Amino acid sequence: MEAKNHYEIVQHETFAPILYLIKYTTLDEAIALQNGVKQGLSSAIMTLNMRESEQFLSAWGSDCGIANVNIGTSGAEIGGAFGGEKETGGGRESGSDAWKVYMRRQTNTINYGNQLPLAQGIKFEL
Amino acid sequence: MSNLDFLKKLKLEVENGGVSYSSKFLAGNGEKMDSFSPVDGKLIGSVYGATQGQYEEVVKKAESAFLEWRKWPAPKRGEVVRQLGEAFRREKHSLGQLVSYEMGKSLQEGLGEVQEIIDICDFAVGLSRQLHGLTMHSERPNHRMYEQYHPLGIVGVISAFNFPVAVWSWNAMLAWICGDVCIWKPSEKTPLCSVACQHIVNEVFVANGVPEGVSGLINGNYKVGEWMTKDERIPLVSATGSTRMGKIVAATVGQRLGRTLLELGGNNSIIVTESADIKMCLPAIVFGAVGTAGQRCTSTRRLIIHESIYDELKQVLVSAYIQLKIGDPLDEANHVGPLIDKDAVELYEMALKKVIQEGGKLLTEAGLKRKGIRQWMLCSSSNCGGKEPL
Repeated sequence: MEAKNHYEIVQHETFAPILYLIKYTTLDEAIALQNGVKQGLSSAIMTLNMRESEQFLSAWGSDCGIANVNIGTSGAEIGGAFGGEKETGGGRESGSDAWKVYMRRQTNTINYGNQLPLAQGIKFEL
Repeated sequence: MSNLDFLKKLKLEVENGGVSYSSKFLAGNGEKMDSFSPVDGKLIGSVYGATQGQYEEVVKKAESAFLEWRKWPAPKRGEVVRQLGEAFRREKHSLGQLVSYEMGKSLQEGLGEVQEIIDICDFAVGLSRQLHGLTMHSERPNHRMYEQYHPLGIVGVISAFNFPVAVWSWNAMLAWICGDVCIWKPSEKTPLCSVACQHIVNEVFVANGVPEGVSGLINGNYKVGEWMTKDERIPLVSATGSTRMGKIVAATVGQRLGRTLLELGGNNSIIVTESADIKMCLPAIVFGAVGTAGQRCTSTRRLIIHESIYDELKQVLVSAYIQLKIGDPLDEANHVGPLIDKDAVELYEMALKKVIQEGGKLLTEAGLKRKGIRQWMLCSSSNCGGKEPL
């Protein structure tokens, strides 16, 4: 389908094989279109130009949890953390350090001396 | 689909219990869920959902299992997960066929989903020896600081129809090596896939003396999920599905200050720049857009194309789309299978109408407009809830 990014239906995720074609002039504009939806899961750029790909991956590039270069948006492998930002929910599953969400972190401090110094140098005398 | 031997191999019957806690299945007395194949509209089998009493039983088992499971050394838990990986390797073909037949994705993608289970098992085995924290230097003399990661307890997993087995395994395998226990609430559209996985897990767990309750399964509708999201005994709920569902889960779990892991909707795009290699773009775009009939959360939905190549790429895409074969996903000659059910077909049609109303232009006859395809989609994408398919 040829469409515009701002159409209500384009902004919405329809779980069916519909592909919207949108035209752009500058890369800044393309990235703004790419980011101009409520969801933030997966994104990709097809380019042989390093300036374009690096801008796409920079802090002012794609706002998604997944950003690919010269690969499509689907078919992630399990070694990387999988998930997305904004209305995608922010969770990360599968690879990298996604395991940490399934655990609770406990910080332990152990005193093996015979004094009881306080942190921040606070004095407390009895 | 004539050869349904894989059902028997996966221990699936005409009627199946849908509630289990890793040694056995409980007798079915909850809601009966019929699973129709979107491939040919036929009834594959039925699964009984959980009653509230059975839910309670599964949670109690999970609680007591956790007390023991958390004491197993992580690499020992990893060894059990390693054996799960072996078991899923043995069942790869049968389970892949079931995924395709119950969900409607191509056999290649069904097998790929089982491969994801195998991969995450391997990943989790390695991880079971690497659950590391940091150590820090203390500002106080004769003090030492370090951090440890301990298991949370019960992890609730709510999964969606589009990946009926893989996403559960991403959660379960990691949770298990971490020392957590799991309770899985699968999609009501793909209950048989969950029962097949549970059989595989039960066998490995029993053989290894894993405490009863480390792997809980509760089939049922959204109400069963709601029991879980409201339950303070479940510190983490990992949910995959629509943004609408995720907002409800987040609010409910947030209300009790529980933790959530949310994987919700996407609206993914590919930017095609002036310098793009068009012959590489073509498979990336077409697979992204029509793979799993556009029912992946990472499906490509928007194509943002530089004006200088817009017309050229449009033509190339249109010619590629014309060649796409739509039909039985278990037949490897076909590229696109059915949508999951009749509601999905109707939403698809509605979206097409709406985009045209808003000013969009249809470039190729959508699959639905081809002669006979709409009828096939509607007939086969049944999930008619016991009714005869159209």
